[in-house]
Amino acid sequence: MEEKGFGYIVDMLVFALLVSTAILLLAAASPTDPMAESTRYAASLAQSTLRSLQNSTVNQFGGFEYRLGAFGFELNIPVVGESAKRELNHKSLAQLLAEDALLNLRVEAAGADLTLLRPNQDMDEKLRELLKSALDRIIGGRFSYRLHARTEPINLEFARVHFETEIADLTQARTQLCSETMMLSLPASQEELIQRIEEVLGIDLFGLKLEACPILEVTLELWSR
Amino acid sequence: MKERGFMPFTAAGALIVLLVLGMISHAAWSRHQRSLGTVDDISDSALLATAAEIQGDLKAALKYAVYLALWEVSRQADNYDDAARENAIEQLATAYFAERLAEIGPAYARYDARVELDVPNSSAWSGISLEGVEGGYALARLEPPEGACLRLRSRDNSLSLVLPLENIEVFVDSRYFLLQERMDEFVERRGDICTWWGIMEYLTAWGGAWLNGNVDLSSSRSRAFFEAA
Repeated sequence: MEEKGFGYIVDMLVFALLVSTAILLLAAASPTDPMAESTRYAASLAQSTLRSLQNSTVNQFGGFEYRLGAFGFELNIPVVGESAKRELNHKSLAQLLAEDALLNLRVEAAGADLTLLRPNQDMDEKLRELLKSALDRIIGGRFSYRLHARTEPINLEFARVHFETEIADLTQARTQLCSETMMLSLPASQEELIQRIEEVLGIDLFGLKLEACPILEVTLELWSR
Repeated sequence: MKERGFMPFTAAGALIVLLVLGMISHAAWSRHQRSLGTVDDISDSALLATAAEIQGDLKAALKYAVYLALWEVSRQADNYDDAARENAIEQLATAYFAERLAEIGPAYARYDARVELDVPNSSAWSGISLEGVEGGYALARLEPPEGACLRLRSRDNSLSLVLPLENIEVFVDSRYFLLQERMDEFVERRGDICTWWGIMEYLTAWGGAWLNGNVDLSSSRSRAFFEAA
């Protein structure tokens, strides 16, 4: 009789152990994949953000103005007056980005950026600030982000001409959730783009038969925090 | 107490564990299926987003075509009357836009193989129409020819979209109509301005001659009279 009682106790203990194991297994299993859900949300937010860059005017983000200059110095001489000031409040953020790409092409020779006379250099800097504040407002701290805009480089024998800019807030970034890309056409034809490159370099590229792709690729990555 | 027919607790517990394992594997399978669905959803919505972005980019291209036409025609603005000038801007903008589309269509396809912009010959284009809106700004409207469309397909070819391009409308931030109105007013009143300006100059000159015995001419005063006229 005593042995039987002991057997019952062991039986109940094993039962309790098995039930606890079952509860633990159930608790660990989740019907949804949180990573998939946040990836879906991030992708949708990234697409909406790119579209809002294309459709929102600069006015909605506090306006945009800059001054023409040279080698990083503003033209503040009295003769020039207000004619060096550019106010572009009715344009969209994407439009400004495409114009910036055209006006601030970079020339690289032997892996180093060449310092050129770029009258609209101030636009590049101010636009980066504007885009940063716009992205901070749209994404609203939900994710870390990196916006990358680039044109296809044009390779010459002696130099490489391209545009590339990056605006990022990756201070608390953990995992990349999505990467969405938008194509923007530059406000210039292939011919005008080649002319622009000739202006930038100060040489004639007539005999080189260059092919320039007038597309700016804008990629927005969202990262979890 | 009769023990026969009773199940030991251990066997019941093992049964419960097996049931739970079954439930969990079913949940894992459903989760996997849902994840696959999520990937498809993201890919489909990315395709729709690309379509919307390209439509937005075409609007921007239309805007630049109008800017360029406004610049070209306005350099010789006095060669036209209002209607002819507007017509010249519309025709030139249409030509620029058609030229631009012929270039960016292949560029899109080169960047993203999922995209194909199908636009018929530019001779079939009805043309851009310009309309004045509040503040003297312009609204450009274009009805692309029948058959113009944007084709997109997903990478695995499971989804294909054909979106007809119709009625592209864009706000042009150039105050062309305000300038035209002001110029018309100025031209209309040009005769009056000359008369009034002349009268004011004569009166001042005669007044000066009678009172001081000499006539003083001053450019700043003349400008003030001109502006007052």
